[in-house]
Amino acid sequence: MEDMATLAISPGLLEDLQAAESHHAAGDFAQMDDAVIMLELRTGNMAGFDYLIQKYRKPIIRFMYRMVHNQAVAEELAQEVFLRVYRSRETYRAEARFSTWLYRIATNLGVNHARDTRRERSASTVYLDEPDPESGTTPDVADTAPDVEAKILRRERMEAIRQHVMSLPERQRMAVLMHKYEGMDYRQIGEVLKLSESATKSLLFRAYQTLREKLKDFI
Amino acid sequence: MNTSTICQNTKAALPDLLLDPAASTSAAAREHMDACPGCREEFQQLQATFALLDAWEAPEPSPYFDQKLAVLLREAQNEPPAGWFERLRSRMMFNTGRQFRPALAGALALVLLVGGGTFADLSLGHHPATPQVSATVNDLRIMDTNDQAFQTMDQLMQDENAPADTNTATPPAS
Repeated sequence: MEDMATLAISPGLLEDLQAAESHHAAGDFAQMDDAVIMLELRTGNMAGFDYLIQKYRKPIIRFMYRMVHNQAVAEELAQEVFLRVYRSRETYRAEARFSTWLYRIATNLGVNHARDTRRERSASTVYLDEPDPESGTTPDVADTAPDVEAKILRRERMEAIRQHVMSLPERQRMAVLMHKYEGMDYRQIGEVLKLSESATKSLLFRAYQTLREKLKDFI
Repeated sequence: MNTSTICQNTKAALPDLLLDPAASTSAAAREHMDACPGCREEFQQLQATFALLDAWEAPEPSPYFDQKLAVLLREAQNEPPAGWFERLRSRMMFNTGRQFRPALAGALALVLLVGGGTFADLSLGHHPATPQVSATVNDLRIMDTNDQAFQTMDQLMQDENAPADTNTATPPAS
């Protein structure tokens, strides 16, 4: 279904896919290193790039969502990440893992977006009679039914986690997002943030200690 | 080793315990925590915080994500190739920078060479300036020179006025 929609919008994509399939069968990509697939993009192997998008789109959208806290903006930024990957295909060097390079692009975009919208975010106000732009729900403080209470508590907890993670210093925030939510190891996080492994470990630990202090009411 | 030192060592090992439980530094810290309620509590709180963060969920991608991305990629494919400056910028921003290391090392060597040479020139080739002489000393020197000149002139004058010692000698009477 998605393929049909894609072809309807961009029929030329089919030619690229067919050309790419002459290099490799679709199943081959799972056996290949991401960096090798990326290097093949230079020769026009769009099928390989499509495989990389499918593999990384969810993690990158989630990563962006936790940075900007808005799904539409997160998806726009994620699209920009993959576009930059495509446009940078000539300059890509397989000296680090593909995912490291991808998260470096995502981190740069996320940080720039956060800086550009800092003023807007600081001026944002919650209106109790308007639905939340992300969840679509309206805060209901009058209803005290048990399931509503649980929902409110869950929502409060999520909001507290979000706020305290977002208020961490920039590098600590990025490190937590990559470590906790993307499952990346010290070395990989260090490569993205251009830090040593020990500095990354120390950065993460400071972040978790701060969060422990801020979130102690929810533990 | 006293208890506080062991507690400090355990706290130093907490990052590994929390973030990398299989690390070699973890075993001694675990052993200490079994006996130390303070350290154990701190670790448990950190573990609980770490687990609490799981509550922050992110939504699934919308069904239109792939379609929008396909359109954007189609446009990108039709764009002219990136210029030299754009490619350099992209390389500087997103790559690790390892490919620039030889050039950076060369540039650093050049800076050291030029900078070191300049410093050597400044420190070794720099001679102390002639000390400034005060006006009084200058005047005294001029007066001294003048005095010497006057003495020389007097000497010459005396020599001119003096009688010839040989040609004017009176012959003895016979």
